[in-house]
Amino acid sequence: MSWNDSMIKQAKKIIKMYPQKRSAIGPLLHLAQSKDGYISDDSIAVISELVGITEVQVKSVSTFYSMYKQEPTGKYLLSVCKSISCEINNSKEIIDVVKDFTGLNNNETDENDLFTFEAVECIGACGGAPAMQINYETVEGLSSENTIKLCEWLKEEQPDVIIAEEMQDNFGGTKSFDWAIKDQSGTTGSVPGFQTFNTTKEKK
Amino acid sequence: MSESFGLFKGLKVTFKELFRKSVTDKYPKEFREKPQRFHGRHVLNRYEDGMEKCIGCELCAGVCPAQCIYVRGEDNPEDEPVSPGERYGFIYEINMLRCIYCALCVEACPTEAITMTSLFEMSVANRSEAIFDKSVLVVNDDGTPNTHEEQTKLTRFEELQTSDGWMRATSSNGNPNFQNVVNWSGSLGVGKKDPEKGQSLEEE
Amino acid sequence: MSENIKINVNGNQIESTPNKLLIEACEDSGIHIPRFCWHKRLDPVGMCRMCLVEIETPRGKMLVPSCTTEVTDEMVVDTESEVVKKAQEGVLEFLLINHPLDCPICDKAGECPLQDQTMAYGPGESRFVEEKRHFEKPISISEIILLDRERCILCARCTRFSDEISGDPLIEFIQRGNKTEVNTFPNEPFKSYFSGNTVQICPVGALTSTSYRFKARPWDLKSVRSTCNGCPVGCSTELNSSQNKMLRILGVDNDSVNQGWLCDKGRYNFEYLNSEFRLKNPLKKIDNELKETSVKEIYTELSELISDRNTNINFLIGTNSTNEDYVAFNEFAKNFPTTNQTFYLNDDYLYAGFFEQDINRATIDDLNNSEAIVIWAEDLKENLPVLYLRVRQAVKNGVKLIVFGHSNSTLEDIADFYYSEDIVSENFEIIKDISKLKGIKEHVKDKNVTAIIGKSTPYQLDEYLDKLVSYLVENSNSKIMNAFSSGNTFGAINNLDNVKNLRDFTKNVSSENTDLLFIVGSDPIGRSVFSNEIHRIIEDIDNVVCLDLFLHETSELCNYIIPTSSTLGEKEGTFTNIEFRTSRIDKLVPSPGQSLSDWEFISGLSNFCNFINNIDSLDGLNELAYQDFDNQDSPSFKNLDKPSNFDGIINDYQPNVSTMPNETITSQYFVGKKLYGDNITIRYSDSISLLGAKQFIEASESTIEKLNLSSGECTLKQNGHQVSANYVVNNKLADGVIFIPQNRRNFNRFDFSETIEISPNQSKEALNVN
Repeated sequence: MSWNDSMIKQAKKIIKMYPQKRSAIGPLLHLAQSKDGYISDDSIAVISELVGITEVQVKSVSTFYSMYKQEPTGKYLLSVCKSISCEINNSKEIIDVVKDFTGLNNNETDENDLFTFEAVECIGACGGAPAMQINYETVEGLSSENTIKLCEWLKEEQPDVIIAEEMQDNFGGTKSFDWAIKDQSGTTGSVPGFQTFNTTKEKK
Repeated sequence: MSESFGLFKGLKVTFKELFRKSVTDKYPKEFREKPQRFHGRHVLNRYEDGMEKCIGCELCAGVCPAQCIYVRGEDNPEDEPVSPGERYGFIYEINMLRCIYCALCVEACPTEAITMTSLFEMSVANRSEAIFDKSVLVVNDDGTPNTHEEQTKLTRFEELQTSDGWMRATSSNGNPNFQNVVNWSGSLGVGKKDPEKGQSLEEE
Repeated sequence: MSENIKINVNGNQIESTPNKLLIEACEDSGIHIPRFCWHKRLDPVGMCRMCLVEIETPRGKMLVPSCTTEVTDEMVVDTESEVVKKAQEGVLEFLLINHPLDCPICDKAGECPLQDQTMAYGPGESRFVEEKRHFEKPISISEIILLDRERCILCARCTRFSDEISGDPLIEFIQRGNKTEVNTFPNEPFKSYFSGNTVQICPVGALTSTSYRFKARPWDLKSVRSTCNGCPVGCSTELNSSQNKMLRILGVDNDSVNQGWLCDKGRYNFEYLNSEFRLKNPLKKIDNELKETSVKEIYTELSELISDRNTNINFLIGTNSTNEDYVAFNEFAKNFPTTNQTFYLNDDYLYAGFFEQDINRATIDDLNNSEAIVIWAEDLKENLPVLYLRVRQAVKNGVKLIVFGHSNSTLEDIADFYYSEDIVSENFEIIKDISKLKGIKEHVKDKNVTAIIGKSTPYQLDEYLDKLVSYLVENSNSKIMNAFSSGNTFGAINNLDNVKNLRDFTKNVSSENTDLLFIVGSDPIGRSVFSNEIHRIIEDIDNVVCLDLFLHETSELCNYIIPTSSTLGEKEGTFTNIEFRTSRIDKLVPSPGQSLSDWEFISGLSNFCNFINNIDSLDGLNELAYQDFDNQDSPSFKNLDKPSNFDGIINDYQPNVSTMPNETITSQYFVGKKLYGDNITIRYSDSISLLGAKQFIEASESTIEKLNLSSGECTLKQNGHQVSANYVVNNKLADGVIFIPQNRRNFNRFDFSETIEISPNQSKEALNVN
């Protein structure tokens, strides 16, 4: 097994929350992604053993959902929204700007493993469209100029921690509304794992 | 009636026929113009780049009412492919003694590989020679049919140029927009065929 | 049972049972609804939308997929309306957008449901001129299966089969949307024992097998219905040949036996028929060299030996012959009063079995109809694969499964009660009180039980099995199925007067009591665990006649070798399966050279010697075999050739198997068989020959630690015989148990009753230094 003991412990905790073992595949894949930044074949082998189904069945689930990354992403994952609200507010231009700046097509990573670009479906920031996410931290109300500035900042500074509020202040425009809990910690890894399993109550 | 009158009455037919234009040709000194879709000897065509069109699918052999065609396919050698795609006709034999020249093989062929020429002189010295194999059937490098040497004395050169006299009435790719439009793949030495009467290259 | 309901399809009233799927109800009444994903033996999934029909609902007419809709009373269905036709055309047009125009070279073309239904229901023209999607083609997803992903129409038949039916889901959909493809996990091939079935049920040519790919076009094929003689399940098969070469075997949906499925060994173990190593001429040993001779010469020499009818003759008979062959040998033996008519069957696992009057005999269908299944036998998945599928099916239908012993570890996942280690000892003895086991108390006592009972290893004592069977007979309404696992064993015990096993052969037969030994289609030296003893006996006997397909370890020792026709596709006859169902074996291809059927040779010999007991026609043998039966139900050719009897006829004959009870010998090893072995036929079937070549032993992790194995390889040593093998960790085995597959090469040369020294392989560096 390529997972360490604390990961296995965490995984077993997740599996316990579900009546059927195989129901836990989703969160377990998130756990795997938080470790490697993508779903590696090794992780799939571990999950299949933990859950008791074959590797290819886990692979089938992980490839079905586009937010499980099949390949390692760069240091910064640039996810530009292409859904309707952003589209109306000229997200196409933002996409083109990012594409031009990075020289990447959809789902590509550059040679230095710095940027990965993807055009994604709604990221829940319709009020502040057009919006994009850097490593799942949202910036809203973008303009073409600010987007270029943002990209340049990332390229030059290469900050280890991305904080949404900071980016919003420096590069963002209109913000939808302030409802989210302030999270000053930001993210540390290239692609963070979701903390979904902390929101469910543990089965005793 | 007198007997002498009867003699002239009988000779009347003879005299009438004596001055009528002869229906026979002085073959082989003279050649009769053959219809465009004359069902003569088969050839196996090649693409303009020299690749064979036959893919060894055995549809001609399957449809042949006289069961005179024997085909076996083989995987294309990777370094030196004989035909585009996975397979090529490895063995192709037609027993010309059995063939009834119905052209069902031409109709069945999905790649326009087998067509019929206007050649009909196929005298052979023994029965085994009447089985035409690929060395005879595949067209020459200039696109002309490969004939037995003795036959070239009888054969007109112009006829060799129009090696595939039979044409498809409808388009081969199944595209309804190209109904009644000549849509041949180009052949070695001949290129794309001109349309027949009633067919046009222009869309209506 | 609930009453039948009436539904209205296209204006006609049809009857159906409730809870039936609409597509099935229509099919039963002769109304065909086109479909790709729906398969009678698989759960409905509604993937392809080809079976859309209109039904009347309170909200007006609605298009519904008939494969996921259950019939209800007074349902009004239209399968041919304009809307339905338009839907079908649309579905087909969409399916064909990315389906490559491979038809001219595709194996499926000509028998392809997509082709057929496009002709019947398709729009005739395509509006798409764009380039189609391309994948690399073909990729091999196992040694025997190839996958053309661009041909796939995503019907999920293969993935559902491997998940639901065979229980080894090693192929699945990868990606989604228009990128969806069926594939395996990287480095995890589709190594299922039933993978060939996915090729058969694939509605397009996406899955093809290496043995048939590009071998023939379907319209070239000649086909005949036959029965597989690989194991006693006797699956119904369709044999296909082109130009007198066997090219393919398909499963036929025989409802009470194999339901359309075959194991891969049954499906692909036919290429040896076309092997160049087949024996073509009779051979005779002169000065230790085999020389070609004629059958007549062999007849002449044998007749000198046997015509006075005082010769001591013994028979070592293989399990791959037809019933008619066995009858012929039985008749031949009757000419010799001295032989006592004993036939030693080439099977290590054969024992007297349970055929007494008070034991009810189980049929395969009984598995579904009982409340519990008790299994104590060899590994079903390895030895009776299709029976394993039927057990899985029964368990899926809610039948409780109780498994004894560690031999059936593949059933552990689905078994309700799996008794090993502390209940079944290493020597396969139930050491606890059977009546006190929870599974027995709850599900067996006074219930309808079907038991599959057989020896788990050749060294298991008969009395251990007796104990369980007598408990079942006394305490429940039980039906017993004797799980003998090789070929036409049941035909042999049905038609031969006195059958014994190989252990008895080693005890009874010697050069003193045998002047002439017939070895028919068997290679005990290459396969049996009694290899060494048998080798010694055969070498001692002066005259040994061998009837076989190939030269192998046993036939090489014989004085006369007669080439024979294979029971697979080269001769006619009948086959009797595990439930005593007799069905037809038919001939499709000619046998090579001067090959004779077993019965042809032996009847010819009696004829040559002018013996009294002699029948020289196949029909005569068949009639003789079933002369005691009621004319109506006898499985004679006449009855079996009626279409209603194609699935075979079950008989209730009480066979005479009188093996000596195994009382003393035990082995400290767990000796068993794997599906693919080192059999001579598999060795010469190119596409599967490698599957049976790997040499390995299995043990649990702790056992392997105790043996100090670490490099992945080990050496087995005993009295100068040495085999180097891999070892595989199987934690389902109890501590200390070491599994040795007897049918892998050279393993059967060990004497398993003695200790085998297992040591780690010296690493290559160490060898170089020395």
